[in-house]
Amino acid sequence: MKGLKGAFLRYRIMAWVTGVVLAALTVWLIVGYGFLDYANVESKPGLYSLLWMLHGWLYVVYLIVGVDLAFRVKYSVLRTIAILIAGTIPFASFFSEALVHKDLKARGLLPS
Amino acid sequence: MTGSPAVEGTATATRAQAMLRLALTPRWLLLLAVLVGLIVAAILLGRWQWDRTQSILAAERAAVSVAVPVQDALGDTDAELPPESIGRPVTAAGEYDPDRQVVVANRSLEGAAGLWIVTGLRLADGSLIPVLRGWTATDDLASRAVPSGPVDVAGVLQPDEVFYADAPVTSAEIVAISQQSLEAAWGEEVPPGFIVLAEQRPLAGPAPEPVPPTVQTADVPFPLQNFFYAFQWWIFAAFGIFLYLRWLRIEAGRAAEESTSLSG
Repeated sequence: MKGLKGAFLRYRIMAWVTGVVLAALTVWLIVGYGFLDYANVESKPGLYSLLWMLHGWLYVVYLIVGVDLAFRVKYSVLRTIAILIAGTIPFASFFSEALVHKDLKARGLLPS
Repeated sequence: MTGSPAVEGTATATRAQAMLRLALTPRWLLLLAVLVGLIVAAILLGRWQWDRTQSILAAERAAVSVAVPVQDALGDTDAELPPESIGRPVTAAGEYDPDRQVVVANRSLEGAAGLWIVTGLRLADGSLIPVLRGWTATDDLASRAVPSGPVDVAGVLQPDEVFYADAPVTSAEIVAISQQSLEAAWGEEVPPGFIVLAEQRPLAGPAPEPVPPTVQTADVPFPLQNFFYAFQWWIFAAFGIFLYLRWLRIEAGRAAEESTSLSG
């Protein structure tokens, strides 16, 4: 299928980048609010807020490449929604990427 | 689809009909209902972030504006403090009423335990304005003494504290500063909100340590996070609409291919 390799690579990169940033922020959030008094705005570092902002935009890119891939490989509506939502749940995008990879190899769309 | 415009027009009409038929099937109506719910939620969440952005900017504008007499910044005394007055620098002239002072228990300043002193300032028109004079150590009774004689005060207007609304109130001690608790303590009407004292003249003898206002001050950075989140929610909403139409088109096309063999 034309362009599929590129589409999957783009999705793969975004799943990992978004996933790593979200996982790091999740750990940071728990430590920050649990032990470093982030509920008090004064003690919340600028980098922390900046990274959440970055994650917001990364997720927008994740949506675009995710939908592009889903349309190319003709995923069902529910499956597509599951892939898109995976970008907002900590660690879920890693699993989503692995499942998509496995599925595409099984369908012979990607070299195994 | 390289035929004449008329044929192309017919094909488009047929496709639109097929999409509409598919959209009205139970499965697609359910999907539509779910999507509409999500899109409405995304629009409202974006709206909320937008309002947050605007209120932070309004507070910043209030903080950098020139000080006004406190009566001008207080709105209707029965309602809440007007949004544009939150964090506004104000001045007031009057006399502290020695019978209108309460302590606010359990307040620390830079980690030191202690309490806050709130004293009613009697203005020339007879109205009573609560002034948070500052923080003292719990055993520092000298600083609590109510200054006598006319004073000029300058500070920042802060809205009522909204927590512990049902905490018990005595005439000498409250738990959170609010119109409700001050009126209960003093048995007299006060406006909503209070002045966080920054400067007082004359300042004689020991006095409470002024505390920093907890409202936004002039040096807050632009609320970029709220601002971006607002747009991101709206992008998600638009994305939902795009996805629905695209899916409908694909599925309708697939169904048409399966049911007819005319094209080809």
